[in-house]
Amino acid sequence: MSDLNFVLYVEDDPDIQMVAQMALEVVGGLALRACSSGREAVAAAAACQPDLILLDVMMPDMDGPATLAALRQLPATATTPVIFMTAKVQAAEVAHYKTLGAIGVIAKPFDPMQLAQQVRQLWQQAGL
Amino acid sequence: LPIVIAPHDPPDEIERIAALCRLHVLDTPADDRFDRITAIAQRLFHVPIALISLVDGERQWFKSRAGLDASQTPRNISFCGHAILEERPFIVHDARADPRFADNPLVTGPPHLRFYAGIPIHEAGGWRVGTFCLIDTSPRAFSVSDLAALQDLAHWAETELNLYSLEQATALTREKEARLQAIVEHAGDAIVTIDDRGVVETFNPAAQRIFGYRADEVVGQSVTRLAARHYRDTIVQMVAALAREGIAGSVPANRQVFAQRRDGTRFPANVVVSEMRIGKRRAFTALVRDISERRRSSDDIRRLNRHLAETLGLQQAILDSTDYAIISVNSIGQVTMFNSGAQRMLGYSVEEMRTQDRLIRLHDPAELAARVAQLSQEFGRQIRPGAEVFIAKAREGKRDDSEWTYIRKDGTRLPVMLSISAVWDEDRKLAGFVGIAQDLSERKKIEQMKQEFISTLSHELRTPLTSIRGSLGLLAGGAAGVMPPTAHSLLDVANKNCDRLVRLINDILDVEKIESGTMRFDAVVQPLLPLVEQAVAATTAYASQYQVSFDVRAERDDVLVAVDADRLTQVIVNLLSNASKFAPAGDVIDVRLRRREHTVRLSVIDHGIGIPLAFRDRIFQKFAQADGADNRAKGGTGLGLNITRAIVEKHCGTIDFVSEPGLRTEFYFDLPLAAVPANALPENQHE
Repeated sequence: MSDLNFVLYVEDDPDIQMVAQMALEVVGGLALRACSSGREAVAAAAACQPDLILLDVMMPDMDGPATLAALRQLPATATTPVIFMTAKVQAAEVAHYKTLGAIGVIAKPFDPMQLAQQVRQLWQQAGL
Repeated sequence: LPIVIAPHDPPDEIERIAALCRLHVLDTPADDRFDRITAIAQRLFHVPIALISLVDGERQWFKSRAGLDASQTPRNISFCGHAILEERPFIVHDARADPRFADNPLVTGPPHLRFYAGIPIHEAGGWRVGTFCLIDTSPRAFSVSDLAALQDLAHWAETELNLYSLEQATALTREKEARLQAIVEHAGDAIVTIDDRGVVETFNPAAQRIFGYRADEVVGQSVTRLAARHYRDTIVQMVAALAREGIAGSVPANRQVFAQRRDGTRFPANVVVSEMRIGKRRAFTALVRDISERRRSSDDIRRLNRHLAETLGLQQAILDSTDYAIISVNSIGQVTMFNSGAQRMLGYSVEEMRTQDRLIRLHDPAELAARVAQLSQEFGRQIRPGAEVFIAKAREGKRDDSEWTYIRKDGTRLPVMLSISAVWDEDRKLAGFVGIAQDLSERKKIEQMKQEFISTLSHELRTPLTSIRGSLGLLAGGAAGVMPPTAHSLLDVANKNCDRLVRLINDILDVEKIESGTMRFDAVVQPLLPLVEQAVAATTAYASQYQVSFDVRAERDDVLVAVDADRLTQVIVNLLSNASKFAPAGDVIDVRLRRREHTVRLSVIDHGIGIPLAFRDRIFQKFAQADGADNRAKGGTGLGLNITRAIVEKHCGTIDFVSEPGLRTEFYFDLPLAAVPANALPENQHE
């Protein structure tokens, strides 16, 4: 099992981004690169070499799945584990995201005190 | 062969016969006044037979016949037929010696006539209608004085005959008059005769009954008093025209007027006028019939017809203007209606949709096939593809409301709600079917918009909520430093309500999905107990807030149901959390799984305050809350049970409760046992 240290986080809403960043960095002790769009994430991916990608699903322009597809084209993120964050948490949707290669789905709104723990749990469940 | 020379007809024979008939003597009974004359002649001339004979078309008929039994003999063998041909006496002294009569049956046979002497008798107009004659059975001479005596007797007979004829005519006239009187007296119609100045001359009993006047109140008065006031001038003009021009003039013989009774009431009457000439005087008979009944019934018929026309017109207007497609077929599958709504909706003309088969081809074949399968299952027998798919239900007197996809003439598709009912005739026999289709595309579009709106809204609500919830969580968790205790309790309030808002949004989304029919149910046959256990595990933490716990007992652990695991877990969690909220602290909530004959029942039993009587009817309704304040304190959304029931019903189950407030409240649902072939089980479990 490898260590989870650096997370690439993509979220278009700045407030949620700030809250999640605080929850993961301050409460969870993780290193984070937060991006506000799929394009920004694709541009940043090669430089930051993340252990995990945390992707919002509903975003303007490039949404979560589109961003994932683009990241998969890059050598740095071709196989990096991905967790989606979404307001839609129907079983069928979760299954759909998993077929796209996600190791898990975290529902919004999330509990900020538990967020890092949730991420780590999914990381472990995936056997990483 | 005997040679009988028949007398030829006199000239103007037709007029002569007519004059004879006008006498009204033929076939009248015997009369003394004539028999006396023939008897005198018999004695005077010492002859066996004396006759007063009238020569009719085919016969001679005897008004008097002294010495003869027969009342008539054929004209062609008669002697009198010869006698009337000329004015002078006709005398045959010896018939056997006369070639005209030698072979006459009256000569060769009885009465063996040898001598004949006949004097013509005339009617008043001068026509020779018969003879006065003598017959002897031996030849004889006839002297001048004999002839003079016979002529006297003949003249006497002629005078008597004309007198008699006059009496006959008078009697006949009297009889006719009496008969006419009887008719007038007993007629159902009023018969009023007036003179040419319009003065009433007679007024029969029916007239008295119909008009309410006695005859003596009207006779001698003007006929106008029998007419309604506004008709009186018309009547005056009519009478004047009748007097001037007679019945053949401008006044119609048959017309309708308004008559007036003595009491002033009016009635519609039919009047038939005929004209009489009495000498030089002209008079008129009016037959008056009260037609108020007829008028009333014809008014009724007119009214009914008008009503019918209005109804039909209304129906037609509805059929023409409605946007619904209204289509009917008769019992032999002919299309009897394809209204303009149907034509507009589908683009086909009436001519293109003559038969049921054409109607069926409006439908999507795949949809038809699916419906055949569904109906076959519902009816427990194979439903034939074709028309039966549409009418199987309607035939049983039930209305079939189903959604279908129509394919328009231009190939485009449109969703419709098609309601099909049977049409029965007056003998309760199946006469056909009528289908009414409503275009659902607009509704579907609106539904889709609503769905999109709600899902967008829920996303838009969740985004700010996520940051609020996150910020509050971090503050409460101390991520931003330690808070004073007062601030901490305020943060808790904010946090709790934020959670509640999230739950509310989730529930509203669920309700919307259930109501729009877009909630997905992936039914998989699986054991029920593991789902119960998962739900209990998921609710245990929540229950501990209320210091309650669960006691799960299942009679059997192999009960299989066909359910959507996520949805059913949602149902059980809802029942468990409801029980937790309303149970007293320290309560143990019983969770029981019992298999019944065709169903399995899951019961969740708490021992709390229970459900107030007044609330029981509304408990499954949306935003139903027994006691608002209490419910808010418990953090409910008022949608949980509504969603729960909908999900249970989607699984063909039922949900209900039994509550004894303060003692025991049991919520339970029953689900049908999954009938699954044994070999299919592992596969499903694998899923």
